[in-house]
Amino acid sequence: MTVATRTSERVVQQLKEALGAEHVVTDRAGLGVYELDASDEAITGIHRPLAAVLPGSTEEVAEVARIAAEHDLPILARGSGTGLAGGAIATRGGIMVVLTRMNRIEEVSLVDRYAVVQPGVVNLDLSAYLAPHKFYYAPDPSSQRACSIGGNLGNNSGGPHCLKYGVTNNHVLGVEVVLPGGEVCWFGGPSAENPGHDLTGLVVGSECTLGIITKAMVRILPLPEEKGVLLATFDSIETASRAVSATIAEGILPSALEMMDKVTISAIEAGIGAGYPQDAAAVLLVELDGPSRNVADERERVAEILNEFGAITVSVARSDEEAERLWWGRKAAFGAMGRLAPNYHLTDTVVPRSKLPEAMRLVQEVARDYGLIIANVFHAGDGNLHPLILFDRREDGIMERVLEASNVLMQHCIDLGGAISGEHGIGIEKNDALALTFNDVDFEAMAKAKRAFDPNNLANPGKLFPSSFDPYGGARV
Amino acid sequence: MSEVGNRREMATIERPDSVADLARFVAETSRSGRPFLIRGGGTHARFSNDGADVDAVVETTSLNQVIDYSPVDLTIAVEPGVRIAEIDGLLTERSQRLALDMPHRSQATIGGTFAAGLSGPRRLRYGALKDMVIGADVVTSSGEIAKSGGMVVKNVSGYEIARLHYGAHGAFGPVSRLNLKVLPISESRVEVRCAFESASDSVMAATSVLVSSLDPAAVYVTNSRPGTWTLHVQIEGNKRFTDLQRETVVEHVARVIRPSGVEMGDLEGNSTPAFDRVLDLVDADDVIVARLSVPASKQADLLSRLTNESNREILADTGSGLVYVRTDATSDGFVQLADIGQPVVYLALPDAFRPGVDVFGTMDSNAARIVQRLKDEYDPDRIFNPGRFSSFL
Repeated sequence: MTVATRTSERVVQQLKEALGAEHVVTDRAGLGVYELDASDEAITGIHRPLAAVLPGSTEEVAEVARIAAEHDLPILARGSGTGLAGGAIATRGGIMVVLTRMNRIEEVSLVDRYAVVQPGVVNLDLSAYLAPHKFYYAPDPSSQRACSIGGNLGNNSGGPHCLKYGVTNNHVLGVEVVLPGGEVCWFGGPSAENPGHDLTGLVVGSECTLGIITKAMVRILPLPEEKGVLLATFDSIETASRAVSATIAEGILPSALEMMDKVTISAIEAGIGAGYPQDAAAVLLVELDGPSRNVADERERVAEILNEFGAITVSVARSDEEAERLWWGRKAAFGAMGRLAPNYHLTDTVVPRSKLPEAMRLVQEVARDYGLIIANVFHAGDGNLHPLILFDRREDGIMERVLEASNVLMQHCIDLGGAISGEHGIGIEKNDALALTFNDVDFEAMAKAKRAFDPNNLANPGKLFPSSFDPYGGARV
Repeated sequence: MSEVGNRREMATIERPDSVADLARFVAETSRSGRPFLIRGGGTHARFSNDGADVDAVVETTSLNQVIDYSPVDLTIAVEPGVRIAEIDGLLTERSQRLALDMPHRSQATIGGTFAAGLSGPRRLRYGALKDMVIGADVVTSSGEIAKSGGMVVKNVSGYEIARLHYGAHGAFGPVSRLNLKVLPISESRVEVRCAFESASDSVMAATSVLVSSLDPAAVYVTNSRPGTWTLHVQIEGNKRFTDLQRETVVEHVARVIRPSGVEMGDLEGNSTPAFDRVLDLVDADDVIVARLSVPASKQADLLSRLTNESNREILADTGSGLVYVRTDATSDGFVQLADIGQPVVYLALPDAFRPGVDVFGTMDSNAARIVQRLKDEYDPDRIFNPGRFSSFL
């Protein structure tokens, strides 16, 4: 028996003593589930942790962190495994802390507008729990039926409603964090400001590289009295983008502004037949929310603006059912892509909203240059593009071409003043691409935080920082 | 205004006129290990521990360039020394605004306000200044410029380093650029004011608004005069909406608890006058200004224990869980705050009361250890504002 095997056996033994054998997974079949997340395995690969553990409390997470530290093993957290950037994959082995059992909503205060949740609570479950009280949790990533709030905090996730409501970080009041050595600390609290220094906002979005979030105090909001939905079609993305800008310039801040391009429209029409006009090159969905009388006013005003700015058709929902129907095509968009190709690669770049038409032209240029079909469904309000590169994995050499096209797209968006990811995270899918935006001085400023929280590089090592930069090697005093 | 204490009279004043100049100064200072104080418009200079002696005071007021403003994208990038009023002016021309309540706008710099970590009652709807920041450049202890975030409103690109610097009073170094998201101006800003005879009635009315779908921009309570507490509800939107909605707010409040009087008024510009008065730290020679973190559900109890005297102004930002108290600098006033059973942050505290007090209050010891380690990493030579922020830094 080798020393490494003996150590592994000792670790597993300690984990079982701490959590109970039934909450420690080490067999090949059981670990299969934890070798991947929702990222593309052709990019992020398959990685098996030494063990996956399912703790039931903060104390158990802390105990796991102490065991990991004792043996100098990496630890990383995993929620529902819906991450798209490989953040929850054990690229360096170690112990995967699966937080799905920690799924209790511990406390809700409507008056103070907060909820305290364990990290494994599924995003939509919190809003469903609050609905009878006419409250909700605003951040709503598209995977909200499955993704966990802990994962949302780790990635600072977005969703369609960011223009008006902001990203996850704007909705977190406090976090409990288990540090890599096993210490537990709280940042923030129920008030908007608290004595001392609040590091909540630094921990959110750190993709488990600073520690494991074991509890979150999140802001909750009263449900808006009413939602209004409009759908307009346009003959070009440019015309639709101008209508979006005109709406915002009017002082109207829609809760969602979703756009789809011609490729997407044809996929939807082939798939479900949402009834979009044949000559439409862009479909724009506008959602407004707030007090009823305000929504009614704004709905009429937005309809006027859309018409004024060259819409081919404008439909205004007059009931919840009609609103649902207008959203139907958008919600079916990703599924409908199967009509066009068996696989797609999803990118997540952002550009300033004014650069949307230019970004769309560049996307088409890349599609042409690389002989690929690229469909576009995007959050037009905040400039977050989601070009879907369509392909057939069975084709020889296709993956290289897709990834190269994706890299060129990221570079174009950066050149337009944008960013490589709006809401999906960096992980190991885009960590090298982060070097397109930041240099070593920038990374070193981030590395200082990493070293302060995690002096021994145990928390999700190898993520977020590009492979060209060692957060522990470049220390400058 | 005068410095806190006299010890800095010997310090030289530096006014770098470019970010490169500032970076050069930090690099040189770092090599010689000479600590310095970073200062913006000076409106929050009282909000600080006394700190150790410094050799230089670096004023950021000449770093006053607007680097980029894109009205279509609702973003603006500014140097730290730009005055808030200047940002207001520029944005107003394009019918936009920074929805931030703050007094002394023509003196306060955006960098100083960010470092002080203060935001008013409209944070309920629009978030605090930290929520408006989408990117920041900072000067590192070796005098280099490090970027984070960007100029887009949605961006996951590594750590949000700006969040480390928010409210840190420069303890981790100077910020050299802030990228902010801005908003269209509301056509109309209206404040509904309902008077009550007790603090608990006014807080009860405030919380009933907070759990409703009335969508207020701000909800707070003040002690307008002895024996009277006033609930303030701000509504923003187009004129037709605010005209109708203010009546709805009054009806809603009256159904919960009938006020002894109701007033309505338009709010001009981009501020909240009651907050400006309480948070005035410039004209604060003989007052104590304190902030207590008390969630809405516990504010009635707290307010009932703070006697409603004529020499004490209270603003309970019910919507944000914060209570501000501005009181004469008497021993009674100080003792009552110190004994209230809540951690207190002192935004202004005269010298007589400072010995033994950390104006930032206490923090969880594990969290404090992390903050200490961050300080070791970001400021190994302890040159940035030594001792001014949490006194252990």
